[in-house]
Amino acid sequence: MSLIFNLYFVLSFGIVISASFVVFLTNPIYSLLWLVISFLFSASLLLLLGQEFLGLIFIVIYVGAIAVLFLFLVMLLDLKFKNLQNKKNNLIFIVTFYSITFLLFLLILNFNYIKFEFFIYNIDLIFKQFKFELKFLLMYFLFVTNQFSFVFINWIEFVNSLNEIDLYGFVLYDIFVLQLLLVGFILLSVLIGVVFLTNSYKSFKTRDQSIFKQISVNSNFFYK
Amino acid sequence: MFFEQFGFSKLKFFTIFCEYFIGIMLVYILVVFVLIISNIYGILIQKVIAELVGFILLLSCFLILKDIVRLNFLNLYSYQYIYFGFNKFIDFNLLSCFTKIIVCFFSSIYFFIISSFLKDYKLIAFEYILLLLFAVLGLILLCSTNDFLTTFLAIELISLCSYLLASFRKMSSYSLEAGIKYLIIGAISSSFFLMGSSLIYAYTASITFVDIKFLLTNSSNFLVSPYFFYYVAPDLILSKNLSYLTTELKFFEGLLFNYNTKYTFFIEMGMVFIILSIFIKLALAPFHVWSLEVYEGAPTISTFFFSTLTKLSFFVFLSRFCFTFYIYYAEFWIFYNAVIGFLSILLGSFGGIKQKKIKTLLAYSSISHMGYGLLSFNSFSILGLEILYFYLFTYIISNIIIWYIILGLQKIQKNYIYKLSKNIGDFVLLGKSNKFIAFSLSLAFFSLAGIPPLLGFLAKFGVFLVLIVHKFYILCLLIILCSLISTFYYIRLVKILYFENLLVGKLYSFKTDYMLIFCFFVFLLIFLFVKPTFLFLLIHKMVLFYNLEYKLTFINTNSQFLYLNTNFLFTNYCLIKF
Repeated sequence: MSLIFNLYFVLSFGIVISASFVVFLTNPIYSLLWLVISFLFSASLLLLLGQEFLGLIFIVIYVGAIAVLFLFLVMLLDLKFKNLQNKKNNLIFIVTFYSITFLLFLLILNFNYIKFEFFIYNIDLIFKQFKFELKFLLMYFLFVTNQFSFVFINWIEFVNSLNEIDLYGFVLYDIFVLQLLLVGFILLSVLIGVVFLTNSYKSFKTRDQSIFKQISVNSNFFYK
Repeated sequence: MFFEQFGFSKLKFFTIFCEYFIGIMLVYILVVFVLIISNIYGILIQKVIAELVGFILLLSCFLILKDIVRLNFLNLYSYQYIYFGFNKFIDFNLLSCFTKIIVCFFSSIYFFIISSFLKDYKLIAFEYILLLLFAVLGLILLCSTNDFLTTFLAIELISLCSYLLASFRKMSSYSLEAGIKYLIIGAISSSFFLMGSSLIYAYTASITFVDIKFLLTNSSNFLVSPYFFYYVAPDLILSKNLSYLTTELKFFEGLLFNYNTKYTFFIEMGMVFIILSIFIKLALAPFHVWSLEVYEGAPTISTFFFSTLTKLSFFVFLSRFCFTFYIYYAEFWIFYNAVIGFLSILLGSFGGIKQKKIKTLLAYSSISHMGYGLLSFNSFSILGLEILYFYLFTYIISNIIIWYIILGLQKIQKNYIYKLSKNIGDFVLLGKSNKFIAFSLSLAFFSLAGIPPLLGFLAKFGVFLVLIVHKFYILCLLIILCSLISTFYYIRLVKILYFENLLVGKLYSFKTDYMLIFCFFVFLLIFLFVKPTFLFLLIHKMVLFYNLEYKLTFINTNSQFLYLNTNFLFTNYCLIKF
């Protein structure tokens, strides 16, 4: 079919494959690199859907900040995961148990209703929808808040006049104000807890840098 | 501006005064205590903060009462004028208001109770109380949320705080292990929740429950996501008739979201994901494994919080979720809930027999009680909902009594701080050393077991009654047998209290700071059995809103949704009833 259709499938399979590599590789640095690749795939998928701002934000935040932070952590802590490969975990039993129960619940549903042909038939149309999705989400909220009734609004003028970043701002700070405040509260609570757990009140001494020790770590001159 | 005419900034839609008050007070306490007080006074101020937080929650009860008065002025009972705040993200009816009051009241009492024990349990840092208050804020919000995004955030606020509360004693490896286990299981359940909500969003294009219900009811054959209308035929939106729309759009039959045939599967799948994620949070039977270890490992005060206060608001969310737009898929969730409720009762009643640690025993009992609540909710009727809330109310009251005694009892030994009551054997011959406390503890255990002159009997009897009325005969019989078995470990505790074959029991000291509250709750256990009319009236008024909804959905709509699933329905009913 069309180019967009093929690209969509290539990118989504790329995400799946890179995510599976992230899970199954034992070396943390390699898995982190695969994580970065999966983020890049997803960002390009977002660009394909016509949401440039979100895609660029993905690259800036996830790849630029979080992945690099993880990499620093792994390199600083110098963890060795050799024990993970040999050890038989009881967790596997629990995981299989959970997954089997979920599968049983899903199998109970009627499978007759699925028709996968629909996806292939309609996928171009869905792309065209996704381009407008955010704008229509906004419209939808205005449209439904008026207690189930239809009122004339000049939508075309309204939609065309909005920038993408303006629209995100409007959605975040005007429609989803409550949710934004809640996210702030969640961050505050986690911050308080993490500061408590990592900070040790008993020893307020700062760790001073002993330059002599640091210099003489690897020299044969002092330690012989 | 254009959004003023839609009522964005009107005060009518502002329905969360209580939450705003608590949030502002949280930030205020944080700033004052970090900058000023903790440097000067330090540990001495610990008890005062807890009492202050309790007073804040009592004051917020009054704010909710004011909301209820406002509701009575609005024309609540007609279907057309249901009020929602914040673009329908917040549900504003009597159910949310009354449950908020219950949560606020009991959590304020919780704060008063723990204020005198924080020093003994070595939870000296003031962050502990702040995290508890954050969690209570999440619980109050969860009582009134009306969409997926806000519920997800509220559940996250509760669960993130509770991971921290479980692992708060950072020197003991047990509590850290409990916190990490809780975190992993909580992350699994929240990811399931997100998966389910995204599936439902994909096939209905809306996140609020009311809108999805509106979409499902008001279109006879075709249902289209609202932005789809705009894409296909933007002119049609401007016309005011919905009927005109549906007749015109028959032309696009292949493209449309035909909910009756293709899309029910995905909506049901999303529903299953969401319901199972909440079952994990409630620690029901196949997903209960985390709760035993977390309850044992966490510090006792936070275990008190997990086992009593968090359960109610999750059930409020479940009832709102299942009784608004999943009324159409009732056959499906009835099946799941019956299986899971029965399993949890079975496991909770058999698992507690061999336990010697008091916290694990109470965890098993909480599993079985959540199972009873789920089964009464599962009967898919208004009576069942009423009994559910009544059951939870009794559960909270009797649990508060038990946990107060467990927290308060201290052995008189050399280092009594480290040897707080952990095993069942520590309660030996309490009846001789402290008669009143032993009597009230035995009363609380009897009410949990469901023995007649106490409040717990009415609740358990109500569950059996509901199951018999709705013809779940065999299920009811099995549950009665399970409850018989579960009385074993309740009565064994009473036996240890009074009739143990020892000469001398372990002596105890008991803190009497808030004994008045304790006596009030013991009084309630007996008094509400004699005169439960007030509670019944309150709960009936709570659920009245859903009564109307229940009737309207089955009278007004075309019942195609119900007919479609008849084959499946029949098999399920065969499994359950016969």
